[in-house]
Amino acid sequence: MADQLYLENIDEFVTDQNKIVTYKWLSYTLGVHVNQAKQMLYDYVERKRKENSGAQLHVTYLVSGSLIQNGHSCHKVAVVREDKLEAVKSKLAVTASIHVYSIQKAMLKDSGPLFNTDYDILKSNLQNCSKFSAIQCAAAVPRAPAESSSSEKFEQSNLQVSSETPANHELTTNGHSPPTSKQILQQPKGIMGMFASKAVSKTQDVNKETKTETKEVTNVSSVGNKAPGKGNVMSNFFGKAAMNKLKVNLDSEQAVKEEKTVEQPPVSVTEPKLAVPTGLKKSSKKAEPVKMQQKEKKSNRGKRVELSDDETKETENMKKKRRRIKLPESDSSEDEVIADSPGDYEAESPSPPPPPSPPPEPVPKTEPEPPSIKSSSGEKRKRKRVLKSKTFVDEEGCIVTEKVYESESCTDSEEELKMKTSSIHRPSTMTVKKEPKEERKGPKKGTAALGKANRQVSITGFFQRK
Amino acid sequence: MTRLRLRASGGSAVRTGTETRVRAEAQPVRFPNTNPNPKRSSAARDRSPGPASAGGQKAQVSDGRARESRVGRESPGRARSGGEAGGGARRDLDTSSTAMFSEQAAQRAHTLLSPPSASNATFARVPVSTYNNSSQPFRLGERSFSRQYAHIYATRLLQMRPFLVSRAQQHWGDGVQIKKLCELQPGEKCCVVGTLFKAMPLQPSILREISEEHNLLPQPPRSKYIHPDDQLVLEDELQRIKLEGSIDASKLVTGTVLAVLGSVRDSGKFLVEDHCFAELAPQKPAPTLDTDRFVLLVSGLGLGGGGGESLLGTQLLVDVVTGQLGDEGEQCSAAHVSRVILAGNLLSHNTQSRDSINKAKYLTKKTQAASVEAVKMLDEILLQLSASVPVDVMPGEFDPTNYTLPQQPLHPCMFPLATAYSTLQLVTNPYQATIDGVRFLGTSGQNVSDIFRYSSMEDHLEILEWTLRIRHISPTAPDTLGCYPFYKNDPFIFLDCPHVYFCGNTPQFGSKIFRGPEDQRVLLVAVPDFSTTQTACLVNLRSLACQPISFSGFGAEDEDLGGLGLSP
Repeated sequence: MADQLYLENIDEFVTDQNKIVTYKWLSYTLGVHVNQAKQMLYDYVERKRKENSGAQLHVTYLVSGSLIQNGHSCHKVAVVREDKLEAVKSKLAVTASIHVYSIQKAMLKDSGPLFNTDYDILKSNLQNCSKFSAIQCAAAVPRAPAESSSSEKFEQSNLQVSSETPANHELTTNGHSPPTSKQILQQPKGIMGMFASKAVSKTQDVNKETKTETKEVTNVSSVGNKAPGKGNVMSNFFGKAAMNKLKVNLDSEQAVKEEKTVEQPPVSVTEPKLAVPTGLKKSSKKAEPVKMQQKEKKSNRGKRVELSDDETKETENMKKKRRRIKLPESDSSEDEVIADSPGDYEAESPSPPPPPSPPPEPVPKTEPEPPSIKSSSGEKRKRKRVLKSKTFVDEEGCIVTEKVYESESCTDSEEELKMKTSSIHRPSTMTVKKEPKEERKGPKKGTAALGKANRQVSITGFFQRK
Repeated sequence: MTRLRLRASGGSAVRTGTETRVRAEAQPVRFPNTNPNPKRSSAARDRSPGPASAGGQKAQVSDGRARESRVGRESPGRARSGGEAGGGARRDLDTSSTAMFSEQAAQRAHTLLSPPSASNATFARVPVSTYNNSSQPFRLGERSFSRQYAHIYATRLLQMRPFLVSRAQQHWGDGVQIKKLCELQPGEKCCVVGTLFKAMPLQPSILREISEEHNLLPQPPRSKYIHPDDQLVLEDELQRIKLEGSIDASKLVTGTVLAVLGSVRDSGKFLVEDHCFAELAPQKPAPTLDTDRFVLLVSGLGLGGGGGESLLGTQLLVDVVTGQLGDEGEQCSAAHVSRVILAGNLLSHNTQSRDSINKAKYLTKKTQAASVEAVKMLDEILLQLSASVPVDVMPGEFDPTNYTLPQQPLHPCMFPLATAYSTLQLVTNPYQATIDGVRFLGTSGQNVSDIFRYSSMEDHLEILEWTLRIRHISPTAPDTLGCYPFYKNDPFIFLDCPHVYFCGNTPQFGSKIFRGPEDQRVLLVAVPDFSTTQTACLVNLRSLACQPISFSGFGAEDEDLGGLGLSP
C-alpha cells in the first residue's frame, strides 16, 4: 500500500513544517476518508514510537462514551491529551470510540489551536465539507436554482468584503481565527491599523507612484498578474492547495525574483509589513527621474491591478513589495521592466488600454483582472468624493474641525493632504526622498497609519501656510 | 497520493443503519486490544516499501486482502442477526439496552487504532419517513401593532373557558356551579373561570420609573421579582376580584387562565378553596417506530461571544453529527440522527452591544456590528450541518429577528452558504413539527425564563411541565414578555399535546417523562445553553428517551476533568 507515502507526508507536516496535524486536516489535505486519516495518524505514531524517534511527538486523542453524570447517562465526547487518556477512559462506563485526534511536536496547553487548525482547513473546503465524512445524506442536495444564486451571492459578498476590508479578508484566508480579524477591524489605528489599511494606502500610493513612475506600475501589474499563477504552481507542486503557505510562497517569490533581476533585501522577506513602506520609498526614489505624463495613464491601470492583487492575497502583496524593492536596485533596467509589464497586460487582458512599449516578457496568468478593475473603479470614485469634501472644508478654514477628522478617518484625504502639507512635509520627506512624488507618499502613510498625526499635520500645515 | 485516493474511492462500502442493531451483542473491544484483526495489521506492516512505480499495483492487491478479511469478520454478525430476527428477540433488545446513543455507538469493534484499512465505512443518513412543519399558527401574516393587548387576554379566556369548565366539572363534580364574576353572590360557593393577574411590587414598571424619577435610583436587576406582598387578582370579561385563601401566589403568574372554587367574603375578596388548571390537551397516540432515530436538540451556540473555548465544542458537535468524529460505531449511530433542531440564541448576547448608539459616530464609523462575524460563522456551521443532515433553525432572544413572540424565521440572506441546501430550514421560535409521527413543540426559552423570573418555581423543567398543565405556552406573554398583539386567537394555547416538549437555553440539562390525566405521555426536555454547558440533547424518536451529549477539549485542565468527574 501507500504506507511510505503517507508516512512521509505526515512526517513532513509534523516535523519539518511543525504543523498541528489533525485527522480532519489530514483528510482534507490528502483527500482521504476521515477514518483512514485517523488510522494513518495512528500508524504514524506507532511507527515513530517503535523507532524511538517519536519521543517529541505529542498526541491528542478523541474519546467518547457514556458517562454517568448527575444520574443521567451522558454521552461524552472529549479531546484529551495522551497523558490523560487512561484517566478519562476509566471514567467512562462504556467507551464508544477512541482515535487519534491530532499529532504535533509542541505540547498543547489547550485545545484552541486544534480548533484553529480545523477551522482553517475547513474554510477552504466549505463547499465539500462532508465529502470525506462517514455519513452521506441523500437529502442534502443543493437547491438547483437557488444554488447558483447563492453562490453568486457568496462571491459577491467576498468581493465586497475584500474591497471594503482587504486586510480582514487576507487574514481570514491566511487562516487566522475570525475573532482576531474582527479585532483588527475594530482597531484600525496604530500599527495594526496601519497594516489593515495597508492595502488601501498601497493602492493610493501606487497610483501616485505610478504616475511618476511607469516602471513601478508595470512591475506591480506584472507581479499581480503573476502572483496567482505562482500560487497555483506552488500548490500544484505540493499537490494540495492547503499546503501553500506563506513560507513556501516567500521562497517561491524569492526564486522568481532571483530569476528575473537582482538582489532582494532579506529584511523584506522576513517582515513583509515593514518591507512595504521601505519598498515604496525606494520605488518612489527610482520613480523620481521618470516622466510623469506617460505614467499617469499607466497609473490607472496600475491601480486596478493593485486592487485585484489585494483581493487575492497577502502573499501576493508581499511579492509585489519585493519586486518594488528589486526595481530600485536595477535602475538601469527599469525601462526594460516597464516594457515587460505592459506587454503582459496586452497579452493577458485586452480590456485595459496598453500604454507604451510592449517588450515581451512571458507572464502567463492574468485571469482575475476584469472584475478587479470594476471594483477598483468603484472605489476610486468613492475616495475622490471624500477628498473633495475634505478640500472644501479646508478652504473654508479651521472653523469646522470635526469634519476634518471624519474625512481623515476615511483615509481618503490624500490629495488634500498633499495640497496642504506638501510644503510642510517636504522637509521630512525630503530627508528620505527628494521628489514631489515622495512627498505625497509621506502624507499618505501618515493618514493610513495614524489619524491623530494626520490631524495635527493638517492643522499645522494650515497655519504654516498662512 | 494518487494511490491513497485510489484506496479511498475503491474501498468504501455503503452500509445501512440496520447493521448496528444486527451487531448489538458484539462486545466492544477495548483499547489497547486495538486490533480486531491481527492478520490484517501484520499484513500491512510486513509490506516492504516498494518503489513508487510499483506502488499502484501493490495498493490494489492489499486492497483486496483487506476487504476479504473485513468480510470475514462481519459474517458471524450477519448470521446471528438472522437468528435474532427469527426468534423475535430483536425488538426487546432494542428497547431495553440500545435506546441510548452511547450504547449504540459502542456496539462496534474499534477499528481506528490500527493501520489504515482499505475500506472505510460510509453510512447513509437515516431519513425520517414523514416530516410535517405545523408551525403555521406562529407565522405572522400582516403585522399591525396598532391594537391593544386587551384582545389577546379576551380571546385567551374565550378559548380556554370550555377546557376549564369541563376540567372543573371533572374535578369538582358535574353539579358545581360555574358563574361569572358579575353573577357572584356573597357566601355562595361556586366556581369561577378567569385570568390571573399578579400585582407585584417589584415588577419593573416604566411608568413608575418615570413618575418617581426625581429621587429614585434605578431598580437593580434581579433574577426574580417575586415578593411576599404579591397579590392575586382574578379577571373575567367584565370585572376583577382579589383572591385569597388556599392559592399560592408565589407560584402562579399573570396571564394564567384557571378555575377557582370558593365564595365571595364580606370583605369583597374571593376565598379560594381549590383551583384547577386546564391540564394537558388531548394527545394523538405516539407512533410505533421499528428503528431508532434521533433528533438532536441544541440551543445557545452563542457565537460571537468572545470566548473561543466553546468553539471547539461546537465544532466537535458538528463533527459528531456529520460523521467526522469517532469510530465506526459512533458514526453509524450518528447517521441515525435524522434531524437537528437549533433552539435559539445562535448568537451571543455580546453581539447586541449598543455601543454604536451611545458612542460618537465618528468613533464607530469603521467598526462592524459584532453580529456580522458571528452570522458568518453561523453560516459556516449551518453549511456543514445542512450538507449532512436536515436542520431546523429557530431564532432566540439574541438573534437578529423580531424580538416579540412569536419570533419569525431568520432571513435566509444571512446564510448565503447554507441556504444552498434544501435541508436547511429556518423556522419560527415557538416551533412545532411532526417528525415521523412524533409531535415536537418547543421554544428558545424566553417563555420559561420569564416565568422563572415572576414565579417561585426554580427548575426550568418544572416550569415547562407547569406550562403544559395550564395549557398555555407563554402565559406571561403580553405582560412581561414581548408578544405580537393577537386578537382573533391566541396561538400559544395548546390545542393538542406534543410528544416532545422542549425549551432552549436553560442553565442545565433536564428531561423527564410527564404523564397527563388522559394518559398523555410527554417527554419534557430542558435543552441547556451550549456555550456554557457544551451539552446538547439527543431524543430517540422510537423510545422517546433523551440523552445529553456533551463535549470538551482540554483547555482548562481542571475544569475539564471536573466535568468528567475526575477531580477528587
